[in-house]
Amino acid sequence: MIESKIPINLIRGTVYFKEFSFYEYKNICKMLISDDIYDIDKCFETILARIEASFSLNIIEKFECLVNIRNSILGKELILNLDERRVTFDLSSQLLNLIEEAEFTFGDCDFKTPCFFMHSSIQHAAADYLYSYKGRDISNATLDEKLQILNTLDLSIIKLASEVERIREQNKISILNDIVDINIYDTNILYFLKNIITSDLMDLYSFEYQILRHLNLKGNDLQYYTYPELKIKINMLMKEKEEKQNSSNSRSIE
Amino acid sequence: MSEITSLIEEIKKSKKNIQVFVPSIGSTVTLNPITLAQQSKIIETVSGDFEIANNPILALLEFNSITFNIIKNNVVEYQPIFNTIDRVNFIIALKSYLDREVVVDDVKFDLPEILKRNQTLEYLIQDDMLASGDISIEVSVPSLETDNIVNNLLLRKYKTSNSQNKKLLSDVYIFEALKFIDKISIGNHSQIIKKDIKSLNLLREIDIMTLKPVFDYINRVRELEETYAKNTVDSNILDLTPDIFIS
Repeated sequence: MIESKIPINLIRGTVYFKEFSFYEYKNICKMLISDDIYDIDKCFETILARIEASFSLNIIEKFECLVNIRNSILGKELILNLDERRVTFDLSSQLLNLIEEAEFTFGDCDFKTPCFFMHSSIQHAAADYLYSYKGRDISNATLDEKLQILNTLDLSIIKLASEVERIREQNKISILNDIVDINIYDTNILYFLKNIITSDLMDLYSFEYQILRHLNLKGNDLQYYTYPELKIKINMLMKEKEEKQNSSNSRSIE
Repeated sequence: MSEITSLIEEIKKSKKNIQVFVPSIGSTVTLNPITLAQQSKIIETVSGDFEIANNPILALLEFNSITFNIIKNNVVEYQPIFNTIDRVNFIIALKSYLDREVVVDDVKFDLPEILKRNQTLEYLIQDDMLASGDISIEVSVPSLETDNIVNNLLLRKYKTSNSQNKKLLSDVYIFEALKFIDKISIGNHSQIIKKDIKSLNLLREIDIMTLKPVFDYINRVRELEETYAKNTVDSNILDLTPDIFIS
């Protein structure tokens, strides 16, 4: 079967993701009910595992992929109520191609934007930032291998941690007319992503009920259609009904 | 061999180690530098536990327990006779590999200078037989092993039970005595003091005045430890607490 794979253009190259069905999106929203940051991170890593890429994604690329995936499901607009009026923001222009990679050098090591939003310890965070040793690219090494390298080098973890903290402090970005600050290096970015990706579950259940009732679909069919596709189908049905209604009204007037 | 494994091997080959003078044996041993994981362990253990983070005594005991394992692991030819006075040099040497200088409350400590000076200090302590009335008590500077066993007894008590922290300070005194006392003799009867709760309960039965010479000996050892941690340019003492690796 040929699957629908959507391209995402990142600075380092194009990556692809297989579209999420309505059924999958509903499950994502269920997983994101939790406010536990570890659960949220785990859910996003599950989503990102669907990305086909020839390189390991760093957190900037992961962020951009998640925004693109979100836009493919919900559209690129984000509507907010500001000062009692509805304001529409274009998330593609607000969030993409905005964040630049950070880097620093410490001893013989170069450190760059890491690959994970969450770290279980300071040493894991330092290992995740490790990019090269004496100019030798080790970005494809596993976290455990990078940790072994750092441990063999006997660096000061406090100095490394303060560099990591400096990067975190310097990378705050104001978006959406300066009403929201985001920071890719702060774990709170996961809550921001959660907020823009999730939909209200009751709305999804209600939509699902309407789909099953009016489109003559079965529960299993929801695995084959995406949320936007189902929206288009239900809109077509509504339009068809409206046209029938209009024609019967015009006949009764005649 | 993978590329990463060979890189690690390459780094290991070029790795430097530290020569540190051990006062109790009067000679130098080789010490491997403190690793990232070991530093991380100190920070996470001391700051990650609420009970420990808010209690300087427990934090110090935990720190001494972690540094014991680091020293045992990193000294190339570790000897069980290394004692708490030697620990001062070991900790300063581990830190000096990361930073030549430590600044505490605007006071600068030049660590290599302190280590250099410590080689010239006279090691003024030895095992002793203390007499108190008709009781004689054999004491010695606790080895790092002994210090660690007793510290863990105390830590276990305060970490696993709801023992009131008010009692901690008084407990520290009796646990300290347990570290230093090797044997108690009354007349012809002698009792070896093992480092366990049974011996601790025995010490609790002894009147405090009888133990006074022991506490005087402990004070002499602690003063000697401070001498090894003293600044080379003034009389400030470098506190060997977790902060030395956190700041």
